[in-house]
Amino acid sequence: MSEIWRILRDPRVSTTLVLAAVVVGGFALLGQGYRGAAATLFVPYQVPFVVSGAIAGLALVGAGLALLSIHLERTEAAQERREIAALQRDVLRLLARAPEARRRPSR
Amino acid sequence: MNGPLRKTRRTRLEEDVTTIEAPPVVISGGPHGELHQAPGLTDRVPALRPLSPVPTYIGIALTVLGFVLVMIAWGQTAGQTNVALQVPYLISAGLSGLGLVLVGLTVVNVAAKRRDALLREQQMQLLSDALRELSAALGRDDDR
Repeated sequence: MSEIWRILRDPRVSTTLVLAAVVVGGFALLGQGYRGAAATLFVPYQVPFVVSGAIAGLALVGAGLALLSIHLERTEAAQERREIAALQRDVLRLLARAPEARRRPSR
Repeated sequence: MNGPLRKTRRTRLEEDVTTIEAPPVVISGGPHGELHQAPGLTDRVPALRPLSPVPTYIGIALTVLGFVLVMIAWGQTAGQTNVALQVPYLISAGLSGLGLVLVGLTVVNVAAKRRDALLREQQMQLLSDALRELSAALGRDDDR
């Protein structure tokens, strides 16, 4: 249980879950819009359901997916920067030891 | 390994060190870390620089405005019983709001990509400088 809680508290996991919930919420709004419009034959009563359910639901789905895509790309970019920083440290370590290597007799 | 990269084996320390024989790349930079960019609009307008948070805030504001427009469309159409009076609200507020949401999200996406690209370029520049210095240091040993 504590392991699951520790995983959920990771910002990458929690952000992904929240944005996935936004997408699911958008689909739920779409479903509610369908139910409301299907419950009446009077078009003026159906139009508000189209707006609040279909259009708003579509906007929520799009927003959730776009933000999820941005979040995943930034997570990968941050991981890439960490790896390049490690490579930089190795190169600088080699550079610091280069004068020492020059002082050794060549074989 | 062929081409400008080749493996050299000299001393034990220098084993498996890849030397870069390509000519050094000259990268022009702006005063605030912009790389590969000629001085232009981004230098004159600080809000347009890749590390500026302004485009992200603008994108978020556009997205929120889009959702507000959709809610306005909902409120106005729910207050009418004549379809002919509802349709203009549907188009002007509902569909426009949806368009604003898409535009705002695109602005946020582009701002995030520009920022990450600049940070990656700066890191690669530092790495390239360090490798060049290392190559020069090892090359001085060759000349002796």
